[in-house]
Amino acid sequence: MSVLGYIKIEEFLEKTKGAVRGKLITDAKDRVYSADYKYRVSKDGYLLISRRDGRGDEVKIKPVVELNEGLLTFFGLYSGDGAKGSEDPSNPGIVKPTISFSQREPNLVRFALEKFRELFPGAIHFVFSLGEDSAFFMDGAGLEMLRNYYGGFVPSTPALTNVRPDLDDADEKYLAETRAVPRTNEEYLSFYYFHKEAMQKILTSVKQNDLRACGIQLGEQDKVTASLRRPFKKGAREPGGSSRSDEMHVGGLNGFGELFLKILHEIEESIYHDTQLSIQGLIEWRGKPSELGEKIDLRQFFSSHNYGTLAGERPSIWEEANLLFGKWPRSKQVQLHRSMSIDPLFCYVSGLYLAEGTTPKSSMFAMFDKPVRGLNLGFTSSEDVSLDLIFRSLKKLFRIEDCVDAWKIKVGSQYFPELVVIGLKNGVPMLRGGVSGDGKLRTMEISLALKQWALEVAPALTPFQQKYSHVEPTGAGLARIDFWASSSLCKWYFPLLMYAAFGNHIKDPLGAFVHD
Amino acid sequence: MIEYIILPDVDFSELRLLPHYRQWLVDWLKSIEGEVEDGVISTSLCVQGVLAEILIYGKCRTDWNGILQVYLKNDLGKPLAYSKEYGKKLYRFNQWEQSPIHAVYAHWWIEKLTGASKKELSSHSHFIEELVQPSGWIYNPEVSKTNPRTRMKSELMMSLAMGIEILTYHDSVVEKKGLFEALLSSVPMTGYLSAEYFRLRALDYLGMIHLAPSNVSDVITICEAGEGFCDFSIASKVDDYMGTAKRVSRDKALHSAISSLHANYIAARCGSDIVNMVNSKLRAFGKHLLSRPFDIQAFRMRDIDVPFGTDVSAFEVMGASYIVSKWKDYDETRTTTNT
Repeated sequence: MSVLGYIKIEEFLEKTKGAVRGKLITDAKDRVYSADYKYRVSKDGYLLISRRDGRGDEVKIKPVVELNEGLLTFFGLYSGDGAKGSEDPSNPGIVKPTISFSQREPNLVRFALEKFRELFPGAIHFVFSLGEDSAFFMDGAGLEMLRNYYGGFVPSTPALTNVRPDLDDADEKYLAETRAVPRTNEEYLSFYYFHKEAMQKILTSVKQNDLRACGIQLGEQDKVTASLRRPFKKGAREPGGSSRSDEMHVGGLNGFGELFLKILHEIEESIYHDTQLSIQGLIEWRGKPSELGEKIDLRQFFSSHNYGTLAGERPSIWEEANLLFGKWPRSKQVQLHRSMSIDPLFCYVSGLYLAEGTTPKSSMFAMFDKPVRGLNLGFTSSEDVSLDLIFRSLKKLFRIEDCVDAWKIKVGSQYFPELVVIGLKNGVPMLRGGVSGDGKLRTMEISLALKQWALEVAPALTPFQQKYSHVEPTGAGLARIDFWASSSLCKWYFPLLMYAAFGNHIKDPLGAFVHD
Repeated sequence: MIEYIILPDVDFSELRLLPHYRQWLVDWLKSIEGEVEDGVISTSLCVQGVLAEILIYGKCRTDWNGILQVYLKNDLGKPLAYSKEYGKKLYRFNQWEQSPIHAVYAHWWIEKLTGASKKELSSHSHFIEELVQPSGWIYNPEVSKTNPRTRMKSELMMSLAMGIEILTYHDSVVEKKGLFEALLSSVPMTGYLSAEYFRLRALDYLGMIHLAPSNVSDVITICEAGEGFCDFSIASKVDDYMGTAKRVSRDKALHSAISSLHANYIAARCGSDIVNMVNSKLRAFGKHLLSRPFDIQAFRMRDIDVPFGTDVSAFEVMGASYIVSKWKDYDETRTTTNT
């Protein structure tokens, strides 16, 4: 494990006179960010950076930050799960970035927390927040929690007029909404206000226990909070349904979001274009990124490395007609490249995959200790760069034709009216599949009409264009591309991915991660 | 009169194409010719092919009925939406072998047009009867078992209108008439032009247009878009469950000739104010299409400047031709005075 490059913060701020400008696309919207910084050097040689407008915190950071595998993984992880900023309503198109991180998996939360502390050695603190739809507490596990909280019996909910005599605008709006649920909005709103304090205390306790279980020691400044939404407003579809979200907000970095985003973007951009120096010189690699990193002999790695054994098993690897093949017990044989390097791209993608890959994260952290079922390899994105980087990462190990089994386009309900019109233009209705309508779209005309959109949005798919399967209507979100590969690749790719991410500080993964 | 349900009021035996639309359809037919010869075909393409050839040549030049019989029927003789070869256009899409209502309707319509007798067509009516659900909706659960609550309103109403048209033609609607009427009169106004158009169409077949929602004309005003009408309004995009407006600030509703004809059909069953408003709008749309005939755009998803699906299609071109020719001589003053 080694230093692969540098974040040259002091040099960058000197060269740009503290001006940080950048653009990003989030939620399919073009946005820009902009901030001006000044800095001073502390007695111990760190930079103390603050905004020129005097807003925000003074942030302590090294003048030059060494980029190793773990930190690169962290930036990949942040690229997937981190906040990119919210749009200023009075200034559309301009984002005000805050630094926070949405992740529930305890090992990843701990990893991100350690990397934040490593990157920002000054006075930063964390606010952990668990968000939930209050409908969760109306049935099933949530109701059981509520019952335990009240000592075995949940008091019946009084009428809304008693619980909430003065309704605010949001309450009135809620009452006017219609949805197919068993009871009235009045009853649900009353439940929300009557049990709000109890539900918040339960959620806070759940989050505290989660953090304790993965060994996160909270500092004096760190906090755990809960946020509740009115029933069905966060995404629960029925009483007892969950729509949990876990946030980690980093305090003490107010005003630093633009510079943080700039670092992230220059890392990604220089990896994508494989250039030693990023556009504005904020990132400088020790050479061409694709030529850096630890060289891994795959046969050797899976024969003897700590990360090359899963639940006590190793694969068999052999040569045939000058090609390398491998097979894990009870799995299908796979053709492999002889060697690959843990270069910046592989590290960054490891983080990105840990954030946004479709594999259950709990399986990836448990696989070293015990046999896990249901490993799969897939990824969803609407951005060509992300998909391209993932494909390039997979191609380091596998033949290109093995990297994608098939792909589809997932479309959130926001764009269903558009799908209906596409159908009408072709003389057909939009026929959904599955009981709840989120299966394969049955109308081929609509699926075929969107194929070209996907290929233009993500040209990285071009080599796999024949493997386009269908459109899948989903609950929410923009149209995005979802691909998956054979699950026989998982046991080859994931150990290397985990090694890139955690190999810096965990030499042997056996027993090193928290899992069920 | 030759009419197809997607484009209400358009008589394909009378419609004269404008030269640029005619050329578009000629090119389009040419573009699918190779695949049609190879059996790479869908019923929706057959319908559009039939209509395009009637408009261009006054009659069918391709043996569309033969194509239906050979490529678009399963082993049991049931109508298919897609041929096996067409199914291969999607990778491992095992659901290609399907008999949804629109495919049954397309088969029935083409066979009827090409001279099949009522008796010969009766198998379609029997099949539709089998697909009437206890709720009154007509759909094939073997194709899509999605519950009616989450099915698209437009799909439900389109299938219902198609099914009722077939049943009415075969004098088989009586038994279910009450069920259909109760259903059609109890679904709240949907906010979608196509759904409301197909509802009215179904009610028309049943002779019960007076059961339409009292506020049905509202759908016309909320769906005005660009030079004409769009099937939906951006403002009414609301999540079914959370009840919250979606983040739609950068999405755009776009005019469509098809949707505009749906608006016109609905307007004709509303008051004179609405009729005048739609006539006036379509007159302007016709003028616009005359100067910019292919200004029928595909949607864009927020800031991504890549067409999100179909823009110009055979149905759009046919609808646009009708709008231009029907409303080009429309005299706003005269109509207003008359009403």
